[in-house]
Amino acid sequence: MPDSSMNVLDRFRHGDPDAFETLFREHQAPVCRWILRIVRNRATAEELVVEAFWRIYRGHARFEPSRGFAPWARRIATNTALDWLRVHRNEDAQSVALEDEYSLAQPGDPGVSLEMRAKIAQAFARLPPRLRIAAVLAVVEEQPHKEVAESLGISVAAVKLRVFRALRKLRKDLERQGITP
Amino acid sequence: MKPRNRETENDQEGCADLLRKVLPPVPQDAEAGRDLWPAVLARMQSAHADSHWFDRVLLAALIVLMVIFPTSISLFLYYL
Repeated sequence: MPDSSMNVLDRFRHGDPDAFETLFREHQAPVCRWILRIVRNRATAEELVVEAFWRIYRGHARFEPSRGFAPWARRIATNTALDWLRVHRNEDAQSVALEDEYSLAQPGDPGVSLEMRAKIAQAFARLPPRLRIAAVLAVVEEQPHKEVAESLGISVAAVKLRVFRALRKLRKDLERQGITP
Repeated sequence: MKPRNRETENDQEGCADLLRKVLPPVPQDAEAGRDLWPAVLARMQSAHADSHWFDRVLLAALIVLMVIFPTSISLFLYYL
């Protein structure tokens, strides 16, 4: 049973809902930002934050306080977003690209036409989810490879390999459409 | 002729640059537009209600089993 002398992480580990709320309040913003970086749509990110924190609460007994809450929460958030990308992978790449609030809605680089930006965003949306997630975090968001590796549960070398494969696949897709990066 | 590795590195960097131009990073201050705690709470409560429903069905099944096969009571007590 949790008692008042335990810290919030230990109390959460024992399933204390108040400790969970405290951790939610503290970590909601960074978890939401992390998911937003992956799915790039606020409404979807909010939905996934709820799902991720539900998974976090359900897995409280597996939590190890010595490893810290933030990396553990980020890992669960990444898996939640990855599951979402997998489910929506078969959707039309055009609609997936249009849901991106941060690309087509922004003025962007004047050297890249709107049509070309749409084609590139669609080609990116066609990438396999595990390659796309590594590329968006490491290349677009420029997150440290170590952090990306921890969130995906793989090594730094594996992150680099996934990024390499993502960019190669993207380049081939664009070349087929007559776009040379 | 450029070595193959260098050529690949340049291609990769060109593709990464193009990607950064098309997909700008999410702003550092981006966050949820509302408090998500009520939604998390609702998710937890609905899951709790679902588990209660499952518990009741399981209990009913056990009672039916015990009525039909009274010898299963001793087996059930053994595993408790």
